[in-house]
Amino acid sequence: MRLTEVFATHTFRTAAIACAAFGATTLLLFGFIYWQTAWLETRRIDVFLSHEYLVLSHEDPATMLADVNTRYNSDPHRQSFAALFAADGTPIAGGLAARPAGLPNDGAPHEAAAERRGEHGTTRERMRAVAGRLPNGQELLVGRSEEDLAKLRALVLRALGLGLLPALAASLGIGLFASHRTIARVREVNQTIGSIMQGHLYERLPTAGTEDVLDQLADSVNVMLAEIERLLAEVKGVGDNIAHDLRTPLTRLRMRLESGLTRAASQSELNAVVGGAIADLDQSLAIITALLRIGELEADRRQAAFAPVALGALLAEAADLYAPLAEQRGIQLHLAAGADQTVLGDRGLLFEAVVNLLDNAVKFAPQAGWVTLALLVEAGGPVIRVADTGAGIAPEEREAALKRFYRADPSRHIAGSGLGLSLVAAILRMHGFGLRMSDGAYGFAVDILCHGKGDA
Amino acid sequence: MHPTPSAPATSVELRRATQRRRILLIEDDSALARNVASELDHRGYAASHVPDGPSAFEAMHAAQYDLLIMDRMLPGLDGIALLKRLRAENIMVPVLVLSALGAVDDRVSGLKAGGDDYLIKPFALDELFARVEALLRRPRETRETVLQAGDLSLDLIDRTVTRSGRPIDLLPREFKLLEYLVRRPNQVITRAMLFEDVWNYTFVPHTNLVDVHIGKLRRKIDAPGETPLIESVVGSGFILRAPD
Repeated sequence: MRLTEVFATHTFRTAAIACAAFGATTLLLFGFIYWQTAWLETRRIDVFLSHEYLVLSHEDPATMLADVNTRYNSDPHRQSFAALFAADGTPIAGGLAARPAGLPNDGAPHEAAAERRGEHGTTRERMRAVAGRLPNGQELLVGRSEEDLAKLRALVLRALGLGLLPALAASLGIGLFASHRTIARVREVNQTIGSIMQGHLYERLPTAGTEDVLDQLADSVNVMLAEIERLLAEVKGVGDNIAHDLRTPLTRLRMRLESGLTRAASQSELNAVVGGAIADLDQSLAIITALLRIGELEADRRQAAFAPVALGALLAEAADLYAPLAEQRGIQLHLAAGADQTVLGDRGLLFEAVVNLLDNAVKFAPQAGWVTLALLVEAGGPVIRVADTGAGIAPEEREAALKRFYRADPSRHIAGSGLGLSLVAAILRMHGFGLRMSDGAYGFAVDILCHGKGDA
Repeated sequence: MHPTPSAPATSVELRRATQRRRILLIEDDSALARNVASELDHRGYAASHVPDGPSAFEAMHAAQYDLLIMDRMLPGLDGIALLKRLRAENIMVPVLVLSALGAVDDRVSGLKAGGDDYLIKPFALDELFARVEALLRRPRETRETVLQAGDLSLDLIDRTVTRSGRPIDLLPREFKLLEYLVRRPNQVITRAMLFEDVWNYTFVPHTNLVDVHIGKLRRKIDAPGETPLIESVVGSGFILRAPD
């Protein structure tokens, strides 16, 4: 991993900006503390010096000389000192080698630098000093070394060095580490995406388990991948099923045409062959049409066109449509729509779903059996029940019954593409409605739950 | 692109040729177009075909047509756009739209754009002929409140039916079905047409629903000994026979 790459990451930049801001604030704070302390200390020294000068300058010359020599030179810390100069500037007493150049003798405190005599020769020191001319022409100076201020400055700088720099270095380091980690994770994610793009749809983006933004993003992408995988599997399943279900009629068609070509002796025999061939083709086309319709319903989940649908009227219409067929087959068709219920949906599609179920029920109910079309009200909402006294679908086969092309075994001899239930499921999914199958006194029932809880 | 029919030899043929109704087929699949045109010719129509929208416009300006059959997806100018332009130019010739797009929305948009009927590919030739004939004839939209078909009469106000004076008791759905047939006498009506027009459903149920409904209607309107009014046409649908 190149360093420039690390510097380019958002994480690192954020860390660097935070470091800079932290450093600047700390410097400002320390600077302020130093400045305030130095100012106060200077003021304190100035007041002290002015007082000392006032006291000394009013002493008689002999006492003054003695005081200058004894008291001020005896300070073990060599902080305070005093000096007396002759009118021409020659030192008379005190610890200074010469009068500080440029120090005004106005009796007020000033900043100065002077050569100071000590046990190891003279040293140049910065000081605060008050100088003034005495009535006898001599010059009196009292001063105090700025060593305290220098110590304070050193302390502040040391604190900065010990505190701020390691803190900055540490945060930059953490930034570098985090960026490094981010880059490593992004790289891992990129590799996974590359692999997914090559067709390994079962792979999932790695997560660190930290629930951070990257994890959240990866989780969303993973959910999307799962859905894509499911859809692709479904499409593949459908493709396989199309191939499978078309193979039978197409094979029959081919054989029919082939034998017609070689064996048909007369025009009427050939006509029969062609008629059969057209019927086979129609069956294949019906399968394709039904599949396209399911695909269309699943791709198009528009709900903008939904409007209130009166279910009672819809069931009555469906019963009206199927009444003659049921009568012809000797099946009793009961309509129990009771009080009307209204749901939001696409009337045409809901009707198609009900008709598909009814079509199945009428087809599967035995002679002299009965079919019930009922509108029930459950806690969740309205339920449309289509029940018949036919064989029904075994519980373990019910889920598979919803899958395209699946036909419960006892019904294999009954014509139909077997797509009815899948179409119903697709319509219900589009509406967010559920589907339930059950057995009871009413026979085998398929319920459309107009409130979303079910198996579909 | 305008195949001229062979010159009529006799006066009878000439009269037939002038009476033949002209159909323009707009279809870019030339094999399908040739087949359909030749079948239409065979059935007594004068069919010509063009492959795209612009040449359809040329043909429409050069000659009068009684019916257009157009593919919905055409190169250059698609069927819907062509249809809208025709209607915008106030060309009101009936149009049958053919389409491989079977979705309900496609059908609705096709009819909204000015199509008079919509047929989904693949289609049976008999279905096509039935719809062509239906579009060319247009149903009887009379102001009369009583429709007659031979000895059968439908009172549209009272919703009552009599045959040779004998009252026939029909359910509302049966009346609706009979009215549809009586308005289109001597004309093949397919199951899909009935399902679309009488019941307003665009999907086709797997079972022989329509036949059962027609069967019930027949048993009610034909008394023993009477000539059956509704005939079945093998492979196509039904036809209500009535003297013109």
